[in-house]
Amino acid sequence: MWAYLEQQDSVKPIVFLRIALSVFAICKIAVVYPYLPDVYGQYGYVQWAISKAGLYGFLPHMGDYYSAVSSVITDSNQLLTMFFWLYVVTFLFLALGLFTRVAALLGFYLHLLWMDTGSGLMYGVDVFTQMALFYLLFMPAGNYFSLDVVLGLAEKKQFMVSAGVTRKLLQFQLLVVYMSSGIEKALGPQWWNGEAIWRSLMLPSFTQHNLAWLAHYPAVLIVSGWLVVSLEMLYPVLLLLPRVRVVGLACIFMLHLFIGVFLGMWLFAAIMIILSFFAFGPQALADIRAYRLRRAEASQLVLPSQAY
Amino acid sequence: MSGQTFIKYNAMKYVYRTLIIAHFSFVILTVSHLYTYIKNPVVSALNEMYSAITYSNRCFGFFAPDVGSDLVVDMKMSDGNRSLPYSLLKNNFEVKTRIYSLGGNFAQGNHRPTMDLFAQSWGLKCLNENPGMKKVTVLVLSNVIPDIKSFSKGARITQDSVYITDVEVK
Repeated sequence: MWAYLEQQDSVKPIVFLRIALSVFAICKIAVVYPYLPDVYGQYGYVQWAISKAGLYGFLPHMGDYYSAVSSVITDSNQLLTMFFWLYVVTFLFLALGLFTRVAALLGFYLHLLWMDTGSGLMYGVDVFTQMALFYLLFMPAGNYFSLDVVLGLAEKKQFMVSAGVTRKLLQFQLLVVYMSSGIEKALGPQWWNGEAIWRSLMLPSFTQHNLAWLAHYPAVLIVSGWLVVSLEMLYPVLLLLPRVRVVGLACIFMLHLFIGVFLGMWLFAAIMIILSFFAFGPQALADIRAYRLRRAEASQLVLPSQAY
Repeated sequence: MSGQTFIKYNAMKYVYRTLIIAHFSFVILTVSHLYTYIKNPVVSALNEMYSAITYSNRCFGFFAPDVGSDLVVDMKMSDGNRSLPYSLLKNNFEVKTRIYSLGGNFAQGNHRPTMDLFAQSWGLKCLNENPGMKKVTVLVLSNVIPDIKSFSKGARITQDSVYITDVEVK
């Protein structure tokens, strides 16, 4: 197992994750910028006193910072704006690969700070972003295509053991995530009789399009439910077997695009696509290249016989 | 590689391997729900703390095993003479999704004191934004989605009252 895990791998996918995750992290908070006081504010949807009460003492919370600086900053919303810009600058540094290690650590901390402050409104997108930032802490993210390399702050390396180990660990984490999600869905009757898809599409909080007419085509809803459960449960098979990996990855992208289109959860869809593409995209692209090569070789073999 | 470097390299390798095993032990323990059987408070606390920082060891069953109902927060504010509606919703897709999540946290475990805290938050938010108002009535409704068969026979989405309270300026 360790021999498989501790193989050298390209740093390029990690550069992709570093940039994509940084841009995503900025977009994620920029989208709610006009509503920062509502979502994360002292007297927002969930007061700081309540969100702080549910946390371990060692976890960061905006309220702690405000207590420390309240003699200087009288409006808690000003503090939110300051942290917003600190967060944006940190992730810009991370995207550019400038002081990468420090930026990754600070980005991880600041993201946790926002999550804990707005803990009552947290959902999957925050969970997966935080998880990805955690893995990024251990990745050699600044050793290629970074300002750290240009400025001589980090050694340029294209292949590293740590790149291979960390990407495989995130692969395994995703396999566990999807498979467990599929199993948990399969345990309820709603995913087998079409009701889960039906309810998801009809919940007023998520309704994007009027799909009530689907009630007259229950087979579509039933099959869609089966497909979701099958895709999630078979994620390891689909993404680990070279023969089906490209199709598997395309199906996962489609699943998340549907979540974006029909449930309006675009940010959740985006982070899941980024993670799956980082974890299995390089192999899928290699599979496509190998397939093209095989086809090219086969056509070259056929050509002389076609001449007759 | 000198002897000292070799030892250091191997020591670090084993440290990393141990950390990887510990990490995935927490992950598997949580997703498999085995953590519910752990009676050791130290292991439970470590597992929860690790989850609170890394978010890697959590139950990832979104919309599982069933898709529940969503909640609607219906608020009315009053200054003693007139009553006006107040909405928590914003015209922003991400805020809408987060408010759905807020409803889930509000109703989690059907715990009345938790519901009261959330309702106080919403009431206070409303009163802060509308200083002339003296009282806010917070009514939480649950959308009842008819099943496929009932809907095709004419049933439509209805709402059940889940919670009601008043938040007043004292």
